[in-house]
Amino acid sequence: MIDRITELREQALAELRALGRVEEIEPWRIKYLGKKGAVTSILRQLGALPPDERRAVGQVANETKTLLEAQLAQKENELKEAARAQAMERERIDVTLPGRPLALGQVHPTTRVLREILDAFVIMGFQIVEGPEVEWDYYNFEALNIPKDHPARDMWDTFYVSPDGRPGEMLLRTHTSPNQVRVMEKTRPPVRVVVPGKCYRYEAIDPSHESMFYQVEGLAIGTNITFADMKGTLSAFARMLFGGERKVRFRCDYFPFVEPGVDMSIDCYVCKGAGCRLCGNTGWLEIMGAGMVHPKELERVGYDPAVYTGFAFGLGPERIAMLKYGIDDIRLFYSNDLRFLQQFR
Amino acid sequence: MKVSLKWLKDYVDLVAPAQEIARLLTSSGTEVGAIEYVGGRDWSDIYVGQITNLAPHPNADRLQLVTVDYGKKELTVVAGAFNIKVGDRVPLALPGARVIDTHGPEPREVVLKASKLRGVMSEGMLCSARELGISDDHGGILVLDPEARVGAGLGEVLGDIVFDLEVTPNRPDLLSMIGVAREIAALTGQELRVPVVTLEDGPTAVKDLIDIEIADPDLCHRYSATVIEGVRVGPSPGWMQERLIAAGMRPINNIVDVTNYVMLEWGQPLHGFDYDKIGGKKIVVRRAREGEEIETLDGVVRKLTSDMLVIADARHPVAIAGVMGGADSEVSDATTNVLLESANFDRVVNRRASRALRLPSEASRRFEKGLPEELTMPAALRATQLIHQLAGGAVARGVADAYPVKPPPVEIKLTTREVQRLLGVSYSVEEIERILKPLGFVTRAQGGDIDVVVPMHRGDVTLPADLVEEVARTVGYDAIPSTMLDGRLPVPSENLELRWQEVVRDVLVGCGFTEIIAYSLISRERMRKLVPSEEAGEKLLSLADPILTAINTRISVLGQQPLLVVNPLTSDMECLRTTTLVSMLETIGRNLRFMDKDVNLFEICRVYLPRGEDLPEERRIITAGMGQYRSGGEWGEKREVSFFDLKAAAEAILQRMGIATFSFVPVAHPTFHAGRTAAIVFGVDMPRLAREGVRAIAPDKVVGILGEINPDVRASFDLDERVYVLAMDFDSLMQAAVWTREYRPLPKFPPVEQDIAVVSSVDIPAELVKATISRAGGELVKSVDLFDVYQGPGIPEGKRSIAYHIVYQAPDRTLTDEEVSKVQKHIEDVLEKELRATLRR
Ligand SMILES: [Zn+2]
Repeated sequence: MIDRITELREQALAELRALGRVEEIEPWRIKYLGKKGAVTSILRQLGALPPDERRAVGQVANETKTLLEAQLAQKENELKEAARAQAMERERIDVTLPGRPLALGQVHPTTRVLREILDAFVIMGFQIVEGPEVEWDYYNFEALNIPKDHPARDMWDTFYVSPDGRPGEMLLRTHTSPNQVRVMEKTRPPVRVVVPGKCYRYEAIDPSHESMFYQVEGLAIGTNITFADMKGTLSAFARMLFGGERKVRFRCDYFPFVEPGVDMSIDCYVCKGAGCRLCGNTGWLEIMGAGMVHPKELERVGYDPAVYTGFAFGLGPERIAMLKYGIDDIRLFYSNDLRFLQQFR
Repeated sequence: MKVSLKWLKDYVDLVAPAQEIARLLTSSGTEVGAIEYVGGRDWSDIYVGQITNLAPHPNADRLQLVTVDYGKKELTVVAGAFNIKVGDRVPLALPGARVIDTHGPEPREVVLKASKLRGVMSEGMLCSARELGISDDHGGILVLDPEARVGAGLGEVLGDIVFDLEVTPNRPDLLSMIGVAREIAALTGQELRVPVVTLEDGPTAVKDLIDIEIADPDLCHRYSATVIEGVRVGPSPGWMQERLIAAGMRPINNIVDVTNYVMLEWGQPLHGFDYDKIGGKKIVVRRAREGEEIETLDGVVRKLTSDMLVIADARHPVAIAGVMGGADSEVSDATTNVLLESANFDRVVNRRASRALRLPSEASRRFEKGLPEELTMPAALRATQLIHQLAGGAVARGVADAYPVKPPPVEIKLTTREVQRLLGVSYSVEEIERILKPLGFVTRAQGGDIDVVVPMHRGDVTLPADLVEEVARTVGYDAIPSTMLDGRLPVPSENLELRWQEVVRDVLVGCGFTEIIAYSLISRERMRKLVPSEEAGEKLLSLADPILTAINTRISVLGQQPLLVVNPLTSDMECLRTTTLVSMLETIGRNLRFMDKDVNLFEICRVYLPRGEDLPEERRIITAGMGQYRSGGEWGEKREVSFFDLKAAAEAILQRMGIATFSFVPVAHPTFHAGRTAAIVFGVDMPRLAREGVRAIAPDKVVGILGEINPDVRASFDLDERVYVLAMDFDSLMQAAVWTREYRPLPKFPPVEQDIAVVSSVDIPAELVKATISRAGGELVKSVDLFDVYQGPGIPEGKRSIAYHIVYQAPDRTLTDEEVSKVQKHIEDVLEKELRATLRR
């Protein structure tokens, strides 16, 4: 009897090994393990055997059943896996084909850089405010220590506007600095604001000059704000935008509404300070003007210059973008050619 | 300001290399814009030669034969210039030298060869400044300094380094060699040397020769004059010419050259008059009479106005003060007696006059920045000495000096505490004094205080903060530490406008639009293109349609006078835009030239709506535009877009801004397609609109317009495909925007879904059908979504079928079929009753 079982087992296993398709599994199962299958019928015959033989044969038969069941499950898995693999192979695609077109939008490169600039200052506790683009001569010049007929007015070529085309007191702001005065008029210290916005200059347009551009103005006023704080804040900003390894240079410069006045540069990332075409052989790239707010300006808005000090700064996002992305023509910004705009996804 | 280092050495020892001096100047506030190496050109084979003989050319009147000794030997050279005499030292170029050929259309460098000129061999060439590449001056052969060593290489004599300084408007003192030298002396720890003037007094006293009257002391603060009698007018010496050329000025004659030279040296403009042309031996400094005329040096007769200042003799003006001299009293070859003016004019009057007459000059560049009254005297004396030295004659005794009010010197009290307070780093009294003194400040220490007297040349320094800058810029800003801000922060307040603006930006970018930023300046002509005809324009302005009027008041304003630019750069940028549609259409058009699909643009910007004499209202507008085609689902495929693609973007914006109630109302706007345009209105729903008509719309609830552009308007922008544009009033949207959101629990019980097709008149807006279904269905109707619109066979003429997918759901139970059919029956009844609509079976 045991020999028969052994023979049966070997036969079943050999047949199982030979199976090649999932569909062949079930007939095999019925043949050996089904209700009327060979193994099942042996088990059914056990009752007819003498008790001592029954135990031995029963053990072998049960082991055989268990073995065949396990082998069956394994084989079934193998075949299913192979079938699945085959099916997927039939569905193979060329993954190097291009993505299906999806209309992608993007913000303007100026917006992109503005966001970066503003984020950097917001992190340092500055709040964002805005002001009018059409300004009074008073805010754009006079309140910034630039009276009429002052030679410093030559630093800003100005578009004047009026309802009837005759010259008056209205102009297109030449910088965002009028907002220093507007903000201080409205609030009391401490002040920490940044003011982004469009500015205009009466300027013939060429690769490095635009008649419309953006500026970001900044102002910090408090009881204990020093030149050293200005250096620290603006250096931190420069490193946030241009990378921690950038060197920052501060040099004296003149703006009528600050004293001392500052011009801030970063070391040229192309030549690393050795001098090249980008930096005009100076090794430095100017990125903003700044300075300690002029005492007269503080006085004018009713801040006691003996109590309060502060600094102001102004920078151009287009210039920052040009430096960051290597753009060589400022006219590209506002001519809105998609071939340009879409490079800044 | 061009500064020759060779010249500068007269006043200060340059102990550091030029690069380092440039760095110090730049870092302390005077940027060295360029460093020019004169003689950096290859001047090998060009030597200093001395003329030993001049002879006529045998074959040509316009040429002469010049014998030149250059140390090694004498050569004969053919020359075409006659400004030379025996004994002059001149640049002699030998064969092989590189000179600039100025005869062609473009100057180019050539290698000189010995050649025959009209039959005579020229063994070399005498060069002009232009041929040497020094300047554009081709007035003749460059006559060198008589001290120049014969046989020396030209580079030794002419070689120089010239700094081009960008002098800031607050520092007119740096528009002078002495001023720059003082700055360098202070920065490098050297001594400043100022030229010492000693004058040999002649027989006459100046007060017997000239009488000076300042009639308008508010405009002329001081007038100093000297007279030099019996001068010989002629060219100035080579050394002076070289220096003037290096500074970018053109040599004229010894008198004019001295006035320019001393202006460059001291920063004080001077003017030389032909003394004998001054009528009445009297100088009157007065306002010009209205309409008074003067012929200026340049030969132009100029009409003057009463806000200009003139120098007049007893009868008429002889110069426009500080702007330009008169032709009559000009120093000429015939002049023998010179009146030298060294005056101080008010900066404002000078600036206005030079602007009004369009006569910017080196003199007015200095006057308009405000010069010290004290400067007239040293400059007058120095120039008098030089004229005497170069042109001979006798100096009249004394200086005629009208000086109505001598201003007191400015005194400032500076404390070490103030320096610390502003800079964040402290300096001792001694350190501060050590910095200020070399700059010309007189200091007196008293404990922690320093009393500072500001020197006359530093009119820009009036406050302690100004002195703090002097300290900081001299030690160098790099020497000041960097610290982070501390102290109190302002009360935080969020900028909602910017937040919503960013939300809108992100929505549109997500919808596939690319942001543009267009010029705010535009022209009325360009804006007129949005109105296809005059009648259309009249209709727009007629106030007949309140929706149209609202749009034309806030969103795209046409036919109103915009703010005009007083000084436009170009005629197509002559005013501020009151509509954003022009830039949108123009930009779409430009991009369609190279893109056949996916021209989807948006802009968030301001329009400028005039408010009379006040500043304009700057209203923020969201504008979006689409060309006719968009990428399809497949590669290379393009799909035609419609009104509804852009409408989806408008809806996305409204939803993201939390605005729940809004409607799209048909509107006839001349810029847009009459049948494919809607006004966007909020606060009113479709049923109310159906009941009450446009009366239900308050003008301030009109927030936008959306539609296809009128074909005629499109044509005027050269757009040959359909274009869709959306314009929304951001400021109004922001007022209505809601940031918070309300959570509704997810349904616990299964929905019942059902599709119905409603046949109704084409005049009934789909939105009304939907609203009617929702309302009739009541609370059990969770959503009503359109999935098909059909018109054609099977549907009566004038009607259409709209199919909706309706979801019924209750929050507390599973709906039974009976419940749903009851509701559905009610919906059918209401549709029938209110809209005369039937269900399509
Ligand atoms: Zn570089």
